[in-house]
Amino acid sequence: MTLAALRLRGALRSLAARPAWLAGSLLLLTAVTYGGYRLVRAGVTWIYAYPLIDTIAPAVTQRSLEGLFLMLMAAVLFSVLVASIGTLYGSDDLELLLAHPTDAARVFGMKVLELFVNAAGLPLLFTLPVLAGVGVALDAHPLYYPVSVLAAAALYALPVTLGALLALVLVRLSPAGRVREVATAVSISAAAAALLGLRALRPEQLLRVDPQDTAAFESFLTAFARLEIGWLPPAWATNASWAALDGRLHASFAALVGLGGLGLLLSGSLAHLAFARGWVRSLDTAPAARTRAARPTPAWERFLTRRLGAVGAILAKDARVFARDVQQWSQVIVLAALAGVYFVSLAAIPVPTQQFRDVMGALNIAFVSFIVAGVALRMAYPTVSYEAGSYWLAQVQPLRKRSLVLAKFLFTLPLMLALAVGLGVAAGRVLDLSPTLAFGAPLAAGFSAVGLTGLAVGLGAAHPRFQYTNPNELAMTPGALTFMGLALLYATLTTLLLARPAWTALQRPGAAAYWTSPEGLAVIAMLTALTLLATVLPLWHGTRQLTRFEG
Amino acid sequence: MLTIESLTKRYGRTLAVDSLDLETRPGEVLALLGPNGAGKTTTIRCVTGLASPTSGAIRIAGHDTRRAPLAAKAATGFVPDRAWFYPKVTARELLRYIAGVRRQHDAERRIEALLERFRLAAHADALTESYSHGMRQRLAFCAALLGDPQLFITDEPMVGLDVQGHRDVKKLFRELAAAGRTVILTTHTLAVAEEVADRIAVIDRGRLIALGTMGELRALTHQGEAATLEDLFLHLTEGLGEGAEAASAREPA
Repeated sequence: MTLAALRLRGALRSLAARPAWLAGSLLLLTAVTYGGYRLVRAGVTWIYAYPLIDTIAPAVTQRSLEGLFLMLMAAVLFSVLVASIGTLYGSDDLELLLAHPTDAARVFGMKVLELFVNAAGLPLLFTLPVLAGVGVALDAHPLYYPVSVLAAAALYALPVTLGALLALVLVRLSPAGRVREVATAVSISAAAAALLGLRALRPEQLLRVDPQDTAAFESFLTAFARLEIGWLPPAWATNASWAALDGRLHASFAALVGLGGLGLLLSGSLAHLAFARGWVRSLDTAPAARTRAARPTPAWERFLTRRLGAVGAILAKDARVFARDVQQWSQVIVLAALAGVYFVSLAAIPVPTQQFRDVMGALNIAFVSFIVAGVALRMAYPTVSYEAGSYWLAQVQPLRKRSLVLAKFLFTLPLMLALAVGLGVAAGRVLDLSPTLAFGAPLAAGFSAVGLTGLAVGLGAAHPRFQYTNPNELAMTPGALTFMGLALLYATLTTLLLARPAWTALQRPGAAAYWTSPEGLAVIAMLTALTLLATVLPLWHGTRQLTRFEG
Repeated sequence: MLTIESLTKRYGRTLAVDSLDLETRPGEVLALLGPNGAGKTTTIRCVTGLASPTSGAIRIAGHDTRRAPLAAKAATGFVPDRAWFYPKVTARELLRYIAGVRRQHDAERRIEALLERFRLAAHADALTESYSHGMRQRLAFCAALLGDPQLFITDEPMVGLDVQGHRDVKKLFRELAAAGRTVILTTHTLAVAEEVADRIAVIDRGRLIALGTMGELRALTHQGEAATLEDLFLHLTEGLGEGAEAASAREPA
């Protein structure tokens, strides 16, 4: 508890150090939470008042809750697999903690708790308004609130325990000298596989229903209400919560808490045996190899340095670090998995008419922006902070901070452009969009990639964190949250700008020359101006802040 | 070579450096001494560009660090007390990176010579994550010397170095001084300072309380020829408030 209290005190101090950011974040969080609560409460009230399905309303609500639990549990599992090795074995504070006569299992427990907060914190926060909405709408017994929250927490603890156990095993089995690299790569590949595996179940099959067709909608809801996943923990959490609505404690609650406790006990026992030794093993790197022959500078590095000067030198260094640092390159696996899921999802959507395809194409423009924003948070935002303890070297060299920030932007941009334009072009082909949208989708995606990369790198430079216990923390800093807020604003503005061409495409699907018309050119000009603003302003701000930084 | 005029550095309410004046000459080794928290490292951080002065001016080789920071940095080489490098690059790659940033396009020969001199040639293609503390420190010397700096600054240069490393570094300081370069070092190892430094500056509570050769410091503190630097240092820092205040008021030699 002392260790956890120490970390908590540190986290609270770092939050209190920036009161304006804290107030803004809390305000945003409160608004989102309250909005979610009102929405769920209204939804549950509506479904209970729906005249044709009043008898199956409880079952529909239960299945919806199960679906939410299942989805968020999968999200927690994904986050845990991506972050487990970094948090449990890569944190810098372990050196200090394990050097003391502290039980290694307790240190492991604190790291698992940290993993839980990082991976399950937000899902749990998003679950709370849902549970409150259901409770208030159904006039729940007071017992419902603590039981449902505890059930959700126990449910999300399961993938955390699973990820921690997997990390313990992987670190013991990975080849000596490259333990962290191999274990992280395997764990992240497992996350990508889990993501694709869940997608392969094709849950959209359930949603092939026209809400306007009352009979079909009713039969869908009836079928949905009969769906049983009783053998899965999300159903246990639902059953526990449901029983608590009437003030009863269901056996599922005991089962869930018992399983969570068993997992903790098992991981605690294994940690006693394996954590400290595994950590020592993970520290081993290949010994400094003795080589005599000096390898000449590769041609690509010579080219970059001679053509782009300092920017080229940073690009060459970053390319090397990216290729060798498993924490960085493994993000590409996650990226590929996300792109795969997106393609499969697009291909699975029923598209009976051209008009419907174009509606999907228009929505796709907004979706791609949101996806690019999520990827930029992981790939572009931390690039300046990745300089970490070596940042002093950049500070003492005759190097403009502008060159450093520009190099980070140029390094990330190709990857982001490939992802965004790739998604845009693929969406055009998969959905067989009309010419206006087939051109507009990759165009908007390309603009999004440029704008959001600039925004992410700029804000990352304005809020650098060169000292972190593990890189997974960087996506949860106040600067990162500000980036997400502004990225959503940019994506919304882009979508609004493209609403007009999308509408034109829906009205006149055959019109091929929209983008060369005065209106089309005006939209492109406005999109360019918005993107330039989103790119240049944050990069300039980031450069200024980084120049003032004293680390 | 280095001119510091009325340098003041505050961190919030804490005054780390208080109106510090210091001037160094080409071809000298200057040891900057002081008790913990005296302001030595902060002074060095301001000179090397790791921190911005609250007020005052710093000139390196005639370049004002505020107006022409790049030219000032180009003339400076710095070795910190605890050098960290990108763990996933090799020593040779790191030095090439620094050469690229400094636009030294034909630095290969110098890189090889530095790696050889600091006994890193055999490990030049190993990732720096596998380096010991001493190897990292020697790599920091290579990195600092790559640009052939006119001003060479080291913060606790002997930390982590083996006996051979100690001897190499002391020899290096004398060689650099002989070549007309200026060397500034901070250290708590007073024997090293006494052995290699031409002049010694003592800082306490952010102020320069004494500056001079060993002979001048002995005269200042009324100590005999037998007095070591340790005796002088303790006399100066413990006696602050008596003779030291007066010493600080004197013009730097």
